[in-house]
Amino acid sequence: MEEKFGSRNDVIMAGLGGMGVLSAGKILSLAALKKYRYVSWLPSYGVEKRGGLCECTVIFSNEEIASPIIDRAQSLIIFEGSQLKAFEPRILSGGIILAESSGMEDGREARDYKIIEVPGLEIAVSMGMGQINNLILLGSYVGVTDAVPPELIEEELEIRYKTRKEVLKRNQEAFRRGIELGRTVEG
Amino acid sequence: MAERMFVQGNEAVGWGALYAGCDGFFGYPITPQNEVTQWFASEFPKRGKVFLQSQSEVGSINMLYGGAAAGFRVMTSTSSPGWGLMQETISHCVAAELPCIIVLVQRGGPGAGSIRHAQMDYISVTRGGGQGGYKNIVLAPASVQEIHDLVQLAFYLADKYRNPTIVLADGILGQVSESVDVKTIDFGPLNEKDWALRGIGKQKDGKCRLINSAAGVLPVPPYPNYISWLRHMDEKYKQMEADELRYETYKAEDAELILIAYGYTARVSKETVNMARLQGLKVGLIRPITAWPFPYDIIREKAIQGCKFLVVVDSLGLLIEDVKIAVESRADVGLVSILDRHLPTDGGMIMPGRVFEEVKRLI
Amino acid sequence: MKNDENTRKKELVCGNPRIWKDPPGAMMYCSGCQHPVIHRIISEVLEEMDIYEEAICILGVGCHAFIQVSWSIDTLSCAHGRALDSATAIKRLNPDAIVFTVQGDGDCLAIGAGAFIGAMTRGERITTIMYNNTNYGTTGGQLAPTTLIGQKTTTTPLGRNPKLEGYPVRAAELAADFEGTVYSARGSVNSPANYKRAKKYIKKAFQKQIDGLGYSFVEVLSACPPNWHLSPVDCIKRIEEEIIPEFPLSEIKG
Repeated sequence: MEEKFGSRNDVIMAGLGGMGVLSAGKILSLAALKKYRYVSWLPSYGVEKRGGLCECTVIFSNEEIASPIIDRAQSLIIFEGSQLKAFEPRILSGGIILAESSGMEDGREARDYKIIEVPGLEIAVSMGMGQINNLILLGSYVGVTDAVPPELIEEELEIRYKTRKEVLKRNQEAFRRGIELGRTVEG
Repeated sequence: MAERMFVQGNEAVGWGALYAGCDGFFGYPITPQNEVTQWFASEFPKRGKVFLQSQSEVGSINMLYGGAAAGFRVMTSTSSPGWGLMQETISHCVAAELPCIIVLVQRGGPGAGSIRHAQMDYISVTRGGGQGGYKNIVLAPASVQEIHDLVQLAFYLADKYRNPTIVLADGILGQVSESVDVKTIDFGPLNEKDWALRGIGKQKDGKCRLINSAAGVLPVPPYPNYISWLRHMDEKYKQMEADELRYETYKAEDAELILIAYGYTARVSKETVNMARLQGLKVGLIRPITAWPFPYDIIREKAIQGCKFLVVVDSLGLLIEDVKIAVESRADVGLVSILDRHLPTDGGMIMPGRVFEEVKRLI
Repeated sequence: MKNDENTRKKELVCGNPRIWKDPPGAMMYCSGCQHPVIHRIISEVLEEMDIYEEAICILGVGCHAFIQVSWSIDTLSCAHGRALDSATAIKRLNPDAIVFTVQGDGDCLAIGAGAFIGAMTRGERITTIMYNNTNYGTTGGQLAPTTLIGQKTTTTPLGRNPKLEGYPVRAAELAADFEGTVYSARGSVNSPANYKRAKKYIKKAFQKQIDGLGYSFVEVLSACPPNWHLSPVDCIKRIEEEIIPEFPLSEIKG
């Protein structure tokens, strides 16, 4: 990925309120800040805290970021399979869409980009906690793109859940599962 | 020493204010700038500075009137409906020559409008929205770094001219987080505030100070009457116009089409310029950093050279009026407006791709 | 201003208060207006308590505000009704200052009601002296929140009708109801005895601020001969016979 788009990475994450879309974006941003000169994170959500449409755009680059708002991104992470159709127009050609497989509708044909289905929710539930799916998806993204070193994300998780060891452990496990998934797909 | 931080636009208001030596923040909750008020509530008291949640935006601005009169660096932040409420006393602050900062994180209007981003207060901000016709320097940041920097500049300019200064942001800039160098910026020395109210025991000359906003009713020394005072104000506005104009040009030297935008739509426009240049189209950007004073001359110069213009603004127009004044009918001025958002809802934004379509149509 | 204690005391025996300019300049008041009398009490109190050097006065808009050109303490003249907001910020930023507002009944209770309630809600450590002359004097004698039932004003030509204009607001009682208010009283200057009482109230109010206890409020009744269409002597009679029964003089709290 890095060679294709130079020293810049951008990703649009989309889902519903409560799925951890914004926090996954924030964790990625903070990790990226340790490696890239410029980082932007733009959230967009409705009035409701739970269940409303929710997306964020994360850009990290060593060049100045012209706009935090972009029409199309190198990568999309779709947290709710049924939203794939609505967001497909927002992927750059040659880009990668990571989509949660649950809720996904049939009849899709990838054009000049790659779609990777991630059974994140299923794995999260099997790990005992649906909420950690955001870290599984984020892990998959990192596993596929190598946009940021995984240890930077892990550092960020440690800061975020400093006082909640159990939560930290679950999130770390989820993130690592995601990385594995991503790497397998690419390999 | 600068500290590299990842900061939300609304919070950058706080960091800028802190590093500018702000003494007090007075604010009332309103979306989409609540993080500003919350930042001050959590960061100011522990540093021995004043934070107060007022009973209304009318309260906030009148608290600024008092705090500024007492010689302190004071500020508030609000969104569009609160901006409307503050107009009366912003006018009083101008008349009483009281330096203070008002940050306006614009949202959709009119009325209660929407609680999300827009750029619909341009005219009332740049023309002096309250009674009596006056001028405030209006700084329009386009990034989180610039919010941090321009809040500091705003304090300097307010003190320099003894006049309110407005920082004009929008809901997108308020919500976006970006990497920022947080540090104190030195703009040079300022005069001591020997006019401020401290109690006569603390005045160096032991004499009383009187501050009022009614120069025509009770003349304030050294102005013997209303017109001599108005002349002084006029000279001050002219000096601001002459000395405080700021703008950015981006790839404008050889441009045939120039985008004009401030705030978040300036970022979108910059992306559009990059898209156009990749296709060999000669497109540039002029971005007012001061919305008042406005960069009329550079735009007029470009019009004389034969450039076309495209205004990109998240309102029904407004900014286009200043561009039309600048070009004096010499050039076509197109508009990408709030009606061109990517979604028909309050969450819709003006996207680079939409602006680029218009660029291709015009060039 | 740096005279020693004896000189200051001696000079207070007669003449104008020391903190008045000499001559006090545009003391622009009508014959029989009692506003300057209340100004005088405040001035005497500031001098006797020796707090005038730390004092910052915040004025509303109305006849009371003409004091700004006549005395020589630091003074801020505000937007109509907003004195308590401005005073709040000054006291919070400069807690050592003695911060007080001088306001009229219209300024404090009508256009300034929000600021008044806000300051009391927060229990600001400031003092308000509210002049109550039952009408808007400066603008020509219109209906005020304090106008008595039946009182004719230029906007109630048939007299205040409670069905249309409601009832008079008793500010000192209202203020006393707030937990943030530590002192509330109503005085009058219609007789030497009441003058002394009013002065005692104002002194106490400032002391509460010095003690850092909370908000203190003193309402003082004031005559307005031209708008009441009465001679100065008849104004004093009206205060005694009509106004004090509606607005009783007392310390309501503290």
